[in-house]
This record gives sequence, C-alpha cells and structure tokens, in this order.
Amino acid sequence: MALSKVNPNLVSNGGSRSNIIINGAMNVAQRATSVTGLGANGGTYSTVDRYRFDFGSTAGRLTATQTGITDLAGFANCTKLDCTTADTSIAAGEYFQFVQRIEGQDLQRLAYGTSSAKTTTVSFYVKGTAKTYMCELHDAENTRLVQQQFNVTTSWTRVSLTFAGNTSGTIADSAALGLYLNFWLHAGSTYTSGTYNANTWKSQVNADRAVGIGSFFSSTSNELFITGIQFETGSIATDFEHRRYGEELLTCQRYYEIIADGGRANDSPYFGVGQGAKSDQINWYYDFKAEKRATFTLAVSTVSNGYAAKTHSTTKSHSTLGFTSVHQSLHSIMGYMTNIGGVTEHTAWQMQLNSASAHIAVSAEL
Amino acid sequence: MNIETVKIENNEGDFRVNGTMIVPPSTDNADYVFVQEWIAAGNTPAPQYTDAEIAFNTQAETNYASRAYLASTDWYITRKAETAEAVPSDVTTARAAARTAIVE
Repeated sequence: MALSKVNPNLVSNGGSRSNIIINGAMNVAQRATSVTGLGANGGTYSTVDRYRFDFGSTAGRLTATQTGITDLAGFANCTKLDCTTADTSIAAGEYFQFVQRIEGQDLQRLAYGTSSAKTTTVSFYVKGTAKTYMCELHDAENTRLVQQQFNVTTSWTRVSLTFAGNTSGTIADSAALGLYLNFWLHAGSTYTSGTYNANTWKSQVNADRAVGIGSFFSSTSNELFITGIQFETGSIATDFEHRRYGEELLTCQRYYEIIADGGRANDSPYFGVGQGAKSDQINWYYDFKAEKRATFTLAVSTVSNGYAAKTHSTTKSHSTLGFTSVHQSLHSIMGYMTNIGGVTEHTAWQMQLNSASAHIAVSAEL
Repeated sequence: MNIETVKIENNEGDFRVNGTMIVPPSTDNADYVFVQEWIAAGNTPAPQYTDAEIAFNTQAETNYASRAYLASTDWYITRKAETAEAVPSDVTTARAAARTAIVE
C-alpha cells in the first residue's frame, strides 16, 4: 500500500503514551472539585490535579471547578473557570496563567537542544466567552519560549497548535522542572506591549509573551471551559489519548497524594502505624501509593483533637502532626505526633483521624 | 501559595507554613521556593517554640523522668510491704519530690 494511503491520524507520533500532559481529560481532582476566590498573588494547585494557577498582582478573582460535561462526546469532565470579580484596570505587571509544569525526564523524546528537535502539537477542547488567548511553551532550563494565539468561541472547538522544535538548549533528564505549558488568560502591558512572533522560539522577552490576548477578568460574565489537553510530538493532533482513571490517579499521586481525609466518603480513617518514640512523641509510618517526584511537603489541616493515636485502652490526640524532611524517602513518610505526654517508648499505636475535618496529604508538585 | 505565617518546625531546616504545611528546605520543592520568596521580601520565620510550648515540653520531660524514677524504686515499697525492711530515707525523699514534680 502506498504511504499516501495511510491515514496520518492512525500513525502514532510518540509511542504508546503519546500525550505528555498528565490528567489531560481533567478526571482527577484530589484536592477539591471547586475552589472560589482564586487570584491572590503567587501560584497554587487548587482543583484538578497537575494544573497550576499563577497570578500576578490582579484584582480579578475566579472560581475554578471540575465540571461534568455532556455536550462533548468522549469527555466526562472539564475545568471550568468563572470570573467572579472583574479587573478592568490592568496594571502593567498583572497576569493570570493556567499552567502544567512538566518534568525534564518526561521531555527527552522532544530531543530539544539538538538538530533533531521534534515538532510538537498542543491540542485541547475549549469553549466559553469569545476571546483570544495565548498558548506558550516555556523551556524552563534555557529560558526559551514560543507562543501561539488561539480563539475561544461559545461552542466546543478542538484547538490544534503545532510548534517547531527547539534546537537550542537541552533539557536535563531529571525530575526537575523542564518545561511549562502556559495558557495566558490575562496580562498587563509588561507582557503584551511587544511583538507577536507566532511559533518562533527565542530567549525570554516578556513584552512578547501575551501580545493580543483578551482578558479573562474583563467581566464577571466571562467563563472558560477546557479539557482534552494533549501535548505530543508530530505535526498533527492525534485523537486524544484517554487513560484509565486508576492509571491517571496513580500518575497524579507522584505529585500529590492524600494519606487520609476524614471528609471523604469511603476513606479509611487510619493513616498508619505508630510507635512510642519518647515520653511526649509518637512516630507514625505510611507507605505512599506512588513514589514522589522530590522532597515533599506535608499538609495537615489544623483540627482540635483531630488526630489520634490509640491502643486498646488509651487515646492520645492532637490538633496537628509534623515531620522532619531529612528523615524521609520518596516512597514513604515517617511523621510524628508530639507534645502529647505520657507515651512509653516502643509501644505500638493505631493512628487514625478523629474528625471529618482532619486531612493529611503530601505534595511534591513542580 | 498565599503565605500568612512561617514558623521554624525543627532543627533540620523545615518550616511550618500557615500552620498546616511542613515545607522541607529543598529547592526541588515548589513550596520552599515560595518560602524563600517570602523571606526575601523581608519577612522572618517565627521561632520553633513559643514560651508556652517550651514550658509544656519541659514539663513533659520532667514527668517522664519522674515516673521513670518512681518505677525504678518501686521495689523498695514492695520489699517493705513483704519484709518490713525500711525504705532508705533518701529514696523516700526523692520519691516524694518526683511525685510533686509530676504535673498532668
């Protein structure tokens, strides 16, 4: 059969796992399914796993929600952004980006920094208030960037953007940050006053990064729905690579894992085995479901007597837990409950949540 | 991340942020990058323990040591009960001090 007869959509561009993006179908939302009031300075992971919101100096606020959808065949969820506070007086340094940060070791197939650097395609389904926004690849190690505008309409549209390979600057084969996939949704003149050079890799020039975009924060009527994000090698957008929920969840847990959550239906209140370490401290141990990317943060909600260590006849409780990062591996955690008193060394304890508000998680996000 | 408070968590360089997150001193950790920015902006982490926490910890150590002493000298009391041999006066004095020192 002549090659011209081969349907290019049936040719895999990047192997069995062509999509570099994690949770592209927005199916995993461990932290929360909806968060209001987003917009404060800085970066935050709030709802759908692996997607970060980065804000700079804006007065605009939004609600982000993992939203079920029925009007896009093949997809059950999307991320919905709903502007709740408008910001129509845009200062120069303002910005809002919706971002996925990608490990360097997951980008080696791109051959960046070589003459064989691969062409890539970013595709996604989007609808909402009609606007023009910017999609950007940002090589974090070499501070080189490339942008392309895209349009949002009130109907679901699959946007497909093909980017040239970056032949200058390699990305290290490591667990460190290699590349940002940025969606610019709001920006001041610091980022919009330059020249739009579509699909041209170059060193960072902030003024050129978001030229010509509309502002998501221009009105409280503004909405944006996005799902099916795919980043793959090749010059065409192949069919979205759907993954099993369990597989995607496990991949997300490399970056964020809930150890125990008192408010989650069907979740075990137990979070490991404890051992009397000294008179006022019990150490507890928990094996992660997924190896963590890097040294992790322990997040523990503060709840009066929310965390308990029990034996058959004794209960010790505290409002929080702690850990010492130097003693950790990427596979497990040894935490502690301290300042409790009356603990005998080497005694065994059953560690469990004591409140629906108690929550323990670890984060190793990029 | 919106940082409101940062406190030293332990002697290994970890920070407790907003009372709910323990952040390791590793530049590979995204939360630590936020803490560094917060410090660079002129903020200072609070010390590991408040005065009340220091007092609590000190009392806990005292309680532990006192109970351990009482346990190690209980055999004098048993011996006296079984044989009528007196408990040495220094032991009696020290046991009384240990009982007094324990504060629940």
